[in-house]
Amino acid sequence: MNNPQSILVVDDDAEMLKALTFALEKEGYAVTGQPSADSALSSLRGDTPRFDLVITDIAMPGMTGLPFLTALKKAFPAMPVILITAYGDWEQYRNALGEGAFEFLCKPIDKTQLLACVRRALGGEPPAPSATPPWDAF
Amino acid sequence: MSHAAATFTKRITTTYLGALAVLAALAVVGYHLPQAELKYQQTSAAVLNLIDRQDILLERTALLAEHFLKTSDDGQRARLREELEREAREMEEAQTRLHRADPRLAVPAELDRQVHEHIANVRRLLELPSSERTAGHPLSKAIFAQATGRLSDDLESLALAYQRLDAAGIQQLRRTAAGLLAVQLGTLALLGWCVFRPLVRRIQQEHDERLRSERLAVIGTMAAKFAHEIRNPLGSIRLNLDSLRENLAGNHAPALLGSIDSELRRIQRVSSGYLKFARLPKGTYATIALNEWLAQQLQICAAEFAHRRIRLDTQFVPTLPAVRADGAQLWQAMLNIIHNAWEAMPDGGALTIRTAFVRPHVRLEIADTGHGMNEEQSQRLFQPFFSSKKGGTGLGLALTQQIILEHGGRITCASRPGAGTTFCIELPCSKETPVEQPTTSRRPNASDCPGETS
Repeated sequence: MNNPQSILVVDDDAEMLKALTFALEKEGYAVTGQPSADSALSSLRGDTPRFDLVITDIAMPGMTGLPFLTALKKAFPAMPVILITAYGDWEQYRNALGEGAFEFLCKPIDKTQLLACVRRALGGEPPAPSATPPWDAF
Repeated sequence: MSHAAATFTKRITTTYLGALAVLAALAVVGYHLPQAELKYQQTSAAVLNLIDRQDILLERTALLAEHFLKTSDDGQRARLREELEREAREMEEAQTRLHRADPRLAVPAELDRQVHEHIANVRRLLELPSSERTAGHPLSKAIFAQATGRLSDDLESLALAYQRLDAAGIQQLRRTAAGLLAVQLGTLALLGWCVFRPLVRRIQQEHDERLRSERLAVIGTMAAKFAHEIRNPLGSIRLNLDSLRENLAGNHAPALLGSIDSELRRIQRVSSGYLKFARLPKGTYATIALNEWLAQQLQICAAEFAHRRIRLDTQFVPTLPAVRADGAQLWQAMLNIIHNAWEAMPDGGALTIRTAFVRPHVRLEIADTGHGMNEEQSQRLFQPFFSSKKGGTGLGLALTQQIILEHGGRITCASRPGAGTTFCIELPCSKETPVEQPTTSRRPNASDCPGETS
């Protein structure tokens, strides 16, 4: 049996972390959850990336998602990073894509949307074409 | 600085400088008036002194002439002669100076004649041979008569007439000064009216705007917190719900889950609305050729218009200056209006989008043939959290207004029940060269924007 692809999920909201882990594990991924960017960085020490994908929340106590993204991209430029946020903010959206985020998802996330995004990221596909940020109109 | 603020500052500065120039001119005149009065008084004193001196000299020469004829002492006579000659000369000079002292002083010719006759008499007396020098000589009598008679009276009359003229002149000067002071005070009052009144009004407006911004900032913070607090549990509910749906097979389960799903979407829409209104980001402005841009944006919605059986009519003015705008935000503002129009025409209708150039703005009108609104709804249209739609957040048009204001423009709306609604957006032109664009329809009527609600 092939080794499952590994995903690091970072979110300070325990329920969200649990839900993401459950949803991804059901699809056969090996998921590691971390409650903060600092603890996630500690778990990533070393030259070889231990994960195939990182999914991280943006608004977290301590190091927030954007500096975490910058640190990840510096250490492992090829590793895809999906950002999740409760704030649908233009500036964050632009900054995140500018820093090299694979995609920027807005809570609450549709499971289908999440899995499609994860598959694209792990399959080396380009992000979904989107002319507008992922939050809806009034 | 916005265009309106720049115009206001220019107007205030012009008025202020104009009033200052008037005040400065008046101050210069005002400064010279007391000096003029002083000079006037000095001239008057000199003239009166001269007349007085002439009178004294008249009496003195009469007295000296009498002594000159009476005395037999040669030494004394020589001194008197010298004195008489000097005083005759002095009278002559005084009379000349009297003519030049003040242009307003008219010395009567008769008085002139008498003074010169008096001087001539004195000089003739001094030339008399010693045999004719007697106390009762006719020349002595004539000199004495001049000194005590008509010439003396005429000099006194001249002095009195001059004093009257002088008093009237001073009074005139003082009246001018008082008038000038009144004009200065009037100008100051005008300055107050023209400059400080609009200034106070402006300060009041800015104060109100600041209060509004502060209120919005508080709402923004609250909304952001609210959205964050809601979206996190929403996120886990949503994912768990999706996972759960895959594991349920009961008959009603899909319907129930569908209902939960719909409610979750509703909460999501509300929280998105709050968040967008609260955290409108700073725009990224670019020069936009409005006609071309609108045509492209509307093309994306063409299928939706067709699906809703709404005819889209565009009337773009052929030559339209470009605008500076954040395309995404401007489209969001328009989309909110278009969404409302769609909902106001559930059975189909027509949506007309017009552009026009009304210097210095580019005007964009969006008119629907929907059910329209009553006066109260029209007036509260842009008020945050006001909505006449079931399930509406009341933030769509508030956000639209906020976006247009951020662009330095304004938005108004006119609506009547059953007669549709027209939104009018005015945006300042870009400073760049006007953009020539092909027209897609007839030139719109550049009538005034509907102004009922803004």
